[in-house]
Amino acid sequence: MYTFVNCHHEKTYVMKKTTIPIYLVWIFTLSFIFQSCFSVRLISEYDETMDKTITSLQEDVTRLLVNIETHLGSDKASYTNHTSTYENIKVKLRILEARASILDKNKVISGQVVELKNVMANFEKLHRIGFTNLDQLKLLDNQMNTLFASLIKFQIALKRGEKQ
Amino acid sequence: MEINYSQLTKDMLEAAKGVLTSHWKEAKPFAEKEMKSFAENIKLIAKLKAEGKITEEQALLYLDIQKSTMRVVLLTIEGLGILTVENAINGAINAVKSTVNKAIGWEIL
Repeated sequence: MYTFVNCHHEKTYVMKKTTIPIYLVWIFTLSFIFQSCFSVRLISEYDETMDKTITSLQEDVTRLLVNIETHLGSDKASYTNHTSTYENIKVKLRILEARASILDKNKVISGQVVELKNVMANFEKLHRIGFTNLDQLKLLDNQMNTLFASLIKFQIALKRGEKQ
Repeated sequence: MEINYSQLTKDMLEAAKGVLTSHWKEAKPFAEKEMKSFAENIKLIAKLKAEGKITEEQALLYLDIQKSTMRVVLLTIEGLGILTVENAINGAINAVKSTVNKAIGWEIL
C-alpha cells in the first residue's frame, strides 16, 4: 500500500510504501459485509407510490365499469365519452412501469405491470368495439376483481414484510 | 359439442399442479379459484356466442385478459413465496443477533 508522506527537510511530497496490518483490512471488509447482510432482501422493497397508484387505478377501472353498466345502450357508455379516462389510466400505467424499473429485484412487480398493461389495452379494445349487454361487462368485472385483488394482496405483503 | 366444465377445471388444476410442484401448497387456493373462474368465463363466452352476443374477436380479447390475470395471480404466488423465504431468513438472523453480537463483541448482525 502507498501513502503520501511529507519528508522532514523537503517541501515535496513523495510516495512511500507503508504497511497496514492485513488483519485490519479483513476486519474492515468483514464488518462491511456483515453490516450489509444484516437483513436479507430477495425481492423488491415496498414502494408507496406503486401501492397508491395500483389502488387509484382500481378506482378508475371500477368507476369506468360502473359508468358503462349504468349507461349501457346509451351514448354515455360509448368509448368516445371515456377517452379522458383511458388517458388517465395510461398515465398511471406509465408511472407503475417507471417505478417498477427503478426497483431492485423487480421480476415479480415488473411482470405484474406488463400483464396489467396488456389487460388495460384489451379492455380499451373491447370498449372501442362496444359493449352491448351486461354479460360482457360481467366477464370483465370478474377479471378486474381477481386482477386487482392479487396485485393489492402482494402490495400488502410487501408492506408487512417491510415492517418486520 | 357440450363442454364438461367441472372436468375442465379438474384438468387445468392437474396441469397447474404438475408445474407448481414446489409452490403447490400456497398456490392451491389461488389456483382453484382462478381455474374455476376460467371455466365459468368459458361457459359465459359459450352462452354469449350461442345467443349471437359476442364475436370471435371479442372472445379472444376476453380470453387474453383472462390469461394475463392468471399470470398476475401466479406471479403473486411466486412473490409471496419469495417473501416467506426472505422473512424466514431475516427471522433466523434476528433470533441469533444478540447472542452473536455479544459473543463476538461487535454489532455485526
